Amino acid sequence: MSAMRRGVSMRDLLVAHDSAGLTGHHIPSSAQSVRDIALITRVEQILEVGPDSIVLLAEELALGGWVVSVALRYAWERRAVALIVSEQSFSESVIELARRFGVALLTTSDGIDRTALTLARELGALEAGILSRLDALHSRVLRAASIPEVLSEISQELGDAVVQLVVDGIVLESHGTRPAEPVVARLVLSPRDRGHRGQEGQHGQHGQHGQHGPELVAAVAPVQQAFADQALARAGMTVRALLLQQELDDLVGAAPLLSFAALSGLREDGAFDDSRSEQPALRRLPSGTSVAAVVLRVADVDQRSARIAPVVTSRWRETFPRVPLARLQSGWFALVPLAEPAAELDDALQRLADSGLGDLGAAVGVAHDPHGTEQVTSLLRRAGLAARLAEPGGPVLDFRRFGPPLLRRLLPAEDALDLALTTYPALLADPQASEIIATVVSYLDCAGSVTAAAEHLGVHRNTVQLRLRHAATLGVTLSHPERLLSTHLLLSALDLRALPVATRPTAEL
Amino acid sequence: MIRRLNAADVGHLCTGAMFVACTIDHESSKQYRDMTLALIELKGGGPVLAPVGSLDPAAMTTSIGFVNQGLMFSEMIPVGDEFETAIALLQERLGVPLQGVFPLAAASVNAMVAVSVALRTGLPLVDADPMGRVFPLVSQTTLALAGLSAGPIALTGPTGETAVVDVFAPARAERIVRALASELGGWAATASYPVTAAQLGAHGVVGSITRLIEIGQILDSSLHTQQKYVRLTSLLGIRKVIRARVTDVEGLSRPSVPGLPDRPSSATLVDEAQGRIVRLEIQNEILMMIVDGAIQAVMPDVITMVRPEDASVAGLDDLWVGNKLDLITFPAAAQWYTAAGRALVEPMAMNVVGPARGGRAR
Repeated sequence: MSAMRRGVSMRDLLVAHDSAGLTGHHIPSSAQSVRDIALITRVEQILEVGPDSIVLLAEELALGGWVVSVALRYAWERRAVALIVSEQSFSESVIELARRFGVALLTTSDGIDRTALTLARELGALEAGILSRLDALHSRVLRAASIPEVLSEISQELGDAVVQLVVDGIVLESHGTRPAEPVVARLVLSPRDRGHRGQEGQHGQHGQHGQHGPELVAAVAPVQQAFADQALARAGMTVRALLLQQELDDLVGAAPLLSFAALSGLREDGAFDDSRSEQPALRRLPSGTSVAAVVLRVADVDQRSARIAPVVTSRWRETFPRVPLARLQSGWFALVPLAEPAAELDDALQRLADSGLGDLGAAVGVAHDPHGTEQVTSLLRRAGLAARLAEPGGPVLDFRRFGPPLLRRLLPAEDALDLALTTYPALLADPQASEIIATVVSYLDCAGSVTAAAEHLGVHRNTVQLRLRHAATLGVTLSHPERLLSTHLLLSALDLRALPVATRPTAEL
Repeated sequence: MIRRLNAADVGHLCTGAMFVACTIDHESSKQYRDMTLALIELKGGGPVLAPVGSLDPAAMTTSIGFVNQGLMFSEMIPVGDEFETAIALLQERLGVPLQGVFPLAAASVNAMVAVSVALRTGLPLVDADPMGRVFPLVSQTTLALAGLSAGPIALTGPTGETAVVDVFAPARAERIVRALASELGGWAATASYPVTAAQLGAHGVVGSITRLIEIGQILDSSLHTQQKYVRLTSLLGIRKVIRARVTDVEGLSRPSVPGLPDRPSSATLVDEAQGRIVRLEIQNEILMMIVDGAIQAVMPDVITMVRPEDASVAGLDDLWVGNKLDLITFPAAAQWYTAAGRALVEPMAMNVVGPARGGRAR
């Protein structure tokens, strides 16, 4: 009975109808749309009407208020919006019932059949008008060259209501002003969960909708909700196409950089592969050009790429309109020419990091080459290393400002203990492990000077030598220079207070 | 068990008869109660109440009841021997003696008339009836449901005129008897549905007189109102008690459905506890109770009213704006909930009792 119709406002319909014959006994204040007109000759037929219908009771039915009461109840159960009966007087209780159910109650002096025909005709005319508006909007949207233009067109059609492109709760583009007490029309642009809509306030932007991909959101006056749904649906494919076009443009712009990523080892499994040879031929910028490599690193980006990519590329374009951004396995990177002072680049990068990327798990690292002399691959690796050490949502990490505290993040104490238990099991099992490790670290800190280490530890140098010999028997070899650095790094990273209890010293050597 | 009713039993029977039939006029019931009590005192004993099973299965019995059209019999008071005349005419037509009488409806005045007639004629009052409550039409009986004949029917009017109608179909009997009642002077004392005790036991509502007495015993007791409701729930299976205040009464606001006695009206009440809007549809009795637009009870359910302060039986004349009443519904005899039973007694309600009795469609 009720095909999907465009949202015709009930008030519009009643105003459009020559209302001389209609008397409203109760009209709900909330906006309601009408999809169908149903003329009922037996009360139980109300059980077959669809939602948003106007129900008219045939003359022979409405013999008394009780039929109207029951019809109101059934109308409410079927989510009909209005009940129209032939002209009669109602007791206050019947009107109160209509008020409680939120169903409009009207009488007509024109005759039920005639009123039904008139309303059906007016409903068709109003729907045709809406269809025409939607078609015109669709044509304008198709001609738009950018997403802001599309949003502007929709907003104008909705009386300057706010229309936004939202990704993961982050507003990428917005146009219009928010009306008082709006309701939200929502169109999900990704293939799943398409077309969901919700009441303003029921769903937070970072709630369940945060799990969606890009979506178009319009905050409109309640009376416009059905129309806004239709308008968003008409614009959805165009917005999606423009998003894909942007993505394609980004790919084309970043194409020259892609070889850097491939050759610099900026991948999840090879970010610090120092064995790769430098490739001077890869440098595309003129030698001597000041440049900074920027890496945006995002955990498990491959699984979330579809949702995160539009935000990252959009934010990047806003910050660096002419600098291409390229994808890599664990994020994005770019080479930014340093035409401006480095401090301004740092500020711009921090604004970028603070523009919502942190919420998506993006960490930003940067490596500067102020003289344009560094190999690009080296520069990218440094930026990649900085991004690995940067905290998502935290400050942008500059490779130049690396310090020992940051280095410690490369090998946290817990990981160091695991590694030491595997590499030096005898040492860790020894009751004097703590003193021996402290002695070895001190000895290496003092560049192999037993005297200096003894002075630093406050023990006799013979004690140091004794402990070093004992260390050698436990597998800590200090006679191979190539192993000294890794041994030093590993033992330095150990938290001596967190060693297994059984290894605590029981006596001074 | 055959027993003789005493004055207290008759009083309780009257209370019960008024309770199960919320009509506009309880005075007639009380009038017959008082006449019966006076006769008991005069004779030194009440009528015999006989269970159906105590009679010879082949014993012929008849229903006793007033049928009125337009004029209430309180406005043209019976002389007293109308039913004796009708019973004599029926015996003559049948050619066999009648060995028991039962009320046409075990409710309202007709329940009391049967007691009075049993006492006057000395015939046993059979503990059964063909309605189990009261319906407006002579044809709305369980005996008619069983395909038994309503006739022959003997009638006596207020002026002493008589008629015997040989009619079989109960629906046809209703039209003829109603027309004759009008012609005889507004009402007729009838003896109808001549059936054997075996037929009455098989197809009637058995034990209905005893049940009325039990209802009266509860309502006439000194128990608190709520305690009375608890006892009544146990006895009758009461489904709902709503305490509500009358806010509006609409009388004679619409034409009657053809074939039904005319007294259509509506009363609106507001539930004291939850503010629900209760609507009673009335046509001689309460046909339907609608709460917030949902049908809560409809014929053949019994819908009645009592006064909250003492659970005394209220009548339709208690429906005045501002009055507070307890609305009670309980199921009628099981025969009325069969498809054939509903078809016989739900003519006006059938169109509105849809599958949705509450709960919004999703």
